[in-house]
Amino acid sequence: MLVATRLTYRINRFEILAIAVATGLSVAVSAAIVAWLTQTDFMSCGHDNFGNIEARCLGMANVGEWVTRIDRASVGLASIFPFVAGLLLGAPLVAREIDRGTARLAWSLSPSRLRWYVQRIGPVIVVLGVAAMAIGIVADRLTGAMMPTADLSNSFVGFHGRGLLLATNALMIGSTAVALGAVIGKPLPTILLSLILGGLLVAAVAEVDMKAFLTNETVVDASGQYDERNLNLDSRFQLPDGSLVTWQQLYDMDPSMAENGPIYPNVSMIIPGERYREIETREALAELGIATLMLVAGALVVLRRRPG
Amino acid sequence: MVAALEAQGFGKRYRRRTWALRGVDLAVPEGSITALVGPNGSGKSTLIRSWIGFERPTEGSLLTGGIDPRRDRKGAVARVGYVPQSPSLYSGLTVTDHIALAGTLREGFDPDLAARYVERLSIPLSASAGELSGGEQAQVGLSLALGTRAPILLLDEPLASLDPLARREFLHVLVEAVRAEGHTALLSSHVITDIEQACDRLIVLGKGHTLLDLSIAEALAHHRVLEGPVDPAIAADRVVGAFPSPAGEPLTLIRVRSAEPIPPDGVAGERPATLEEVVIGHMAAGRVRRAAERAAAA
Repeated sequence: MLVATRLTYRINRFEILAIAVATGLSVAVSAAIVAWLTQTDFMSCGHDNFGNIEARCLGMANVGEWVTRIDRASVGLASIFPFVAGLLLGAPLVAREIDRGTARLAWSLSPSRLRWYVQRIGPVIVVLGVAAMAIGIVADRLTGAMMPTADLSNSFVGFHGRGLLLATNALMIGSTAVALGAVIGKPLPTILLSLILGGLLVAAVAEVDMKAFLTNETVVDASGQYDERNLNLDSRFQLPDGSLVTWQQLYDMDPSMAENGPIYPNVSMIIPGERYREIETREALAELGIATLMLVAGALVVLRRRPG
Repeated sequence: MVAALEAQGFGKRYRRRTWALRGVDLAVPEGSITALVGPNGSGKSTLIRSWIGFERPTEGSLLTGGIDPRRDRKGAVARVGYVPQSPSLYSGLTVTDHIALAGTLREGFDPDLAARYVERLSIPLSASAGELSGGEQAQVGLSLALGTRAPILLLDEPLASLDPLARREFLHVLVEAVRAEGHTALLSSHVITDIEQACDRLIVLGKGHTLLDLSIAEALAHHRVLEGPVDPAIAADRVVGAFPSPAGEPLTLIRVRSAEPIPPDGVAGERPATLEEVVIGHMAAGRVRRAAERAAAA
């Protein structure tokens, strides 16, 4: 098994090295940013009424501005990492072997194509999962460094853009690319189609969760205060009997409100931040399920197809 | 005769219309080195790939070491060492890595045996596959196939990319391994002179059909060449096919009973056929037959 793993790394060394270097650099830069923001407590620097930064922060204002810019850019880049890593590592795994004819050699040597498939896919999927999890944690820390007082494990801030979901996104996209590669047998078309299908799947998981679960799980927040920890899904007007109506329903009841404005309190329909971990885990499990199905589909194609 | 490879009424059709092979009946005897010869597009690769389970027959059946590759591909692959048409090694891996890789993929693979063959073919084990010539890659492919110790070797035009010396070395290693291990080998090739020295049996495919299936000795004994125009006195069923000599003179391959004495040279313009002439004569006949079939179909 060790020999097979070593050889799989050597066969895919360019992609693995590229992802490992990108992940390592990202972790190193992010660690420096987080350390600087934490040590200087720059994010707590306040401004006076004229917009001037407080005296203790004067000396580090320029550096701080750059560091926070890099922080925000890094969080943004982290959200595309699952696509880059998933496509780069997943697409060539089977497609390139079919395209270059190495699958023909391997499948003639191996009575079990499944063994070949597991040998090729296993180590790379592990690398993808570890790298994407590292980037997920990095995005989590970077987001936390910008909001030092926030409890991110109970907050929807940066939902879908940090933590576990980045890792499962990458695994789902990578597995999709593996399966499509087995069908198409050419790396470039595989990358393009996987980009489209992977993007649709990521969006679909979030959308299905929203439509099937989250919309029915909202609670009413009548505080009138916007709380960024919560996931704000909609707003309603609360009638004296406690019932909730949309603006259109309110207008239908009393058209004069279009001119006078609504007289009933506006309430938010939210998912409380305390449920973040639960919902993150639910979506992550859905994505892992899809990733598993894709890998099984890829295996079935490999078992049946011609080697090219 | 026990057959290591069999085809019965085998046909393979691509994309619903084009038949690569049709109605192929043949048997490759166990322990033989059989040459599979035919023009481009005659279906040699399709047949070989079907025996290893890479292609599914459209009609008829195949047996690889007694196993139907359509029903038990694993069993068929386990009985076969395969050298594909174009070298397809992992460019980033060394020869040693390839041997190790084969060991991880196949139970019973003998890495020491494969390494010995590689060294005999003067290929450095530490060389990266990307640095090897096409011929050297084919030789590594042969060494890997021999390392499987599979009872049947399928070699799909491995000589095409080899220079004459490498070709000779390749065939020497192949023949020696087959004789030593009791393998059966099926070698598809265009290079007839080398086949004559290495193989003991000949199958000629043409336009999707089996044109000839004989031992090399029988093929030579049962054919002669007529130089010049065909004598009308020769029965039409004895004429196999007409083709030009390298100098452009008309030659005709005729079928004879092996017991017939060869007339003295110059008397009837008849002389023993070379193996190349036997093959070319049957290919020419296949072309004529195909043209007649097309005309009839039209």
